[in-house]
Amino acid sequence: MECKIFRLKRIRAQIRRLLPILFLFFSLLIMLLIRFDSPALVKTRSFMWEIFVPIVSVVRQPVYWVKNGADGLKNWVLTYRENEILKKENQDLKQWRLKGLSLEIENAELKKHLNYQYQKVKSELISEIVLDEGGSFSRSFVVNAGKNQGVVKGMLAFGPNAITGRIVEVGKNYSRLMPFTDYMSRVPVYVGEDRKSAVLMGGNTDMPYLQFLNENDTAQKGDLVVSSGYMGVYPSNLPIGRIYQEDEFTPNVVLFENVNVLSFVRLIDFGLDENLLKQDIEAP
Amino acid sequence: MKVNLLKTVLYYLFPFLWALLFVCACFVPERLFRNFHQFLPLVLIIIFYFALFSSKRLNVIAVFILGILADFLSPSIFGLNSFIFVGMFFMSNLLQPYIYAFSFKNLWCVFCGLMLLCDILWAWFTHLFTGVWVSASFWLVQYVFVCLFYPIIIWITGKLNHLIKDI
Repeated sequence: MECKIFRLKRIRAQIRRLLPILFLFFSLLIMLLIRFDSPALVKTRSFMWEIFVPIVSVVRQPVYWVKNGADGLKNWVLTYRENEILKKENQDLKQWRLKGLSLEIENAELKKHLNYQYQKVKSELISEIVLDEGGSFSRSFVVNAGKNQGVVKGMLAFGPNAITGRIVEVGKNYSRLMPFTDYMSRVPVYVGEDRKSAVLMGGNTDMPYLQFLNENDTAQKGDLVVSSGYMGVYPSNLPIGRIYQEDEFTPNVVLFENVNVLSFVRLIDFGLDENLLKQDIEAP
Repeated sequence: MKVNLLKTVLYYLFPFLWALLFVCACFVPERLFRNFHQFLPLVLIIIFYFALFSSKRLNVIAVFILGILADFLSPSIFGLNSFIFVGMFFMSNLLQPYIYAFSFKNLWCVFCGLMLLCDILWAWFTHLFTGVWVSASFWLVQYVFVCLFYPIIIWITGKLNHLIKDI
């Protein structure tokens, strides 16, 4: 009898020792078998958002208070310096405003002559960033608007200054926004005044980089980067950023909009690629 | 009787709930510092701590569940978080006989080593499955910060653990 109990205990101890290895292999198997963009996973993920966003909203409050307190302290210390900078900026902006008004009139006149077709906006809404799924190894956000609110896959997200990314997954009430800084992000762009074609690649840093510039083309520091509109995912000529670093192989781009500091984004559907809508996965 | 039962349940659930709270907090949009993932290292610290000192209270199944949950919420490779979490648990368990009686300083050095291993695995698997090497700057900064400032958190976790034990 004792021998039996001893044997059972030994088996239990062995199972307990083997269990972590089994789970390690199981995790590895999951990694190999389930693609991160498989429809079933996307469905389950959007279902999980429905459960976990309210929980995260509660957990968020203390962090929000601490961050707000720290920001308040920082603002209080930096107010005088910021005021000086703002005065200078205001002067510059007044000059730019005058310049802009005259250019706007001139532009409207020229467009009339060219019979230019404006990019139509199909729908538009503002939503809040409720989850930050990013970290050192990915950049991604969840916004609190989904299919029920009229969000569709491929909608573009804008901050107050410029475009920040696009919607890649749509759930019932939540959607996932992939910013330009995510390592999976690829945006066809034009660089500089002579509109050199390239692809803007995210690298999980604050500054994405350019790739696939033609052999003879070079990007100069300060060159404007705008979307080219190839493949129909982004409309053409949306300002994205400026070349920050002249690197012969991978010039870095400083974005006009820093998505990390945004709380709200404006989602706009330009209705560019209907195929994207067809591929959209039904929420559970 | 009921109070005792509640105490026991709380005693055994505490590590899991504590880690679950931090897994949820990982996805909070507010970051104390720019691009700094303040809560993910805490989950790994909790796993490390309980794998060493009380693996009955946070066993491998609970760790795996936490990992899968993080996988569902994060957009990266599915299974990577659970692999790293279980890996951390496994390594800590494996090293337990050698480091159990060591000082806090030595424990911390072992954690730094395991954390580095986790970060390397994270970067390597990301590259393996997506073909992209993510920039090392952010995770290196995060790693250095965690190794310098987070010992205090493990100390608090230990204190809380003892507090609940005393109740």
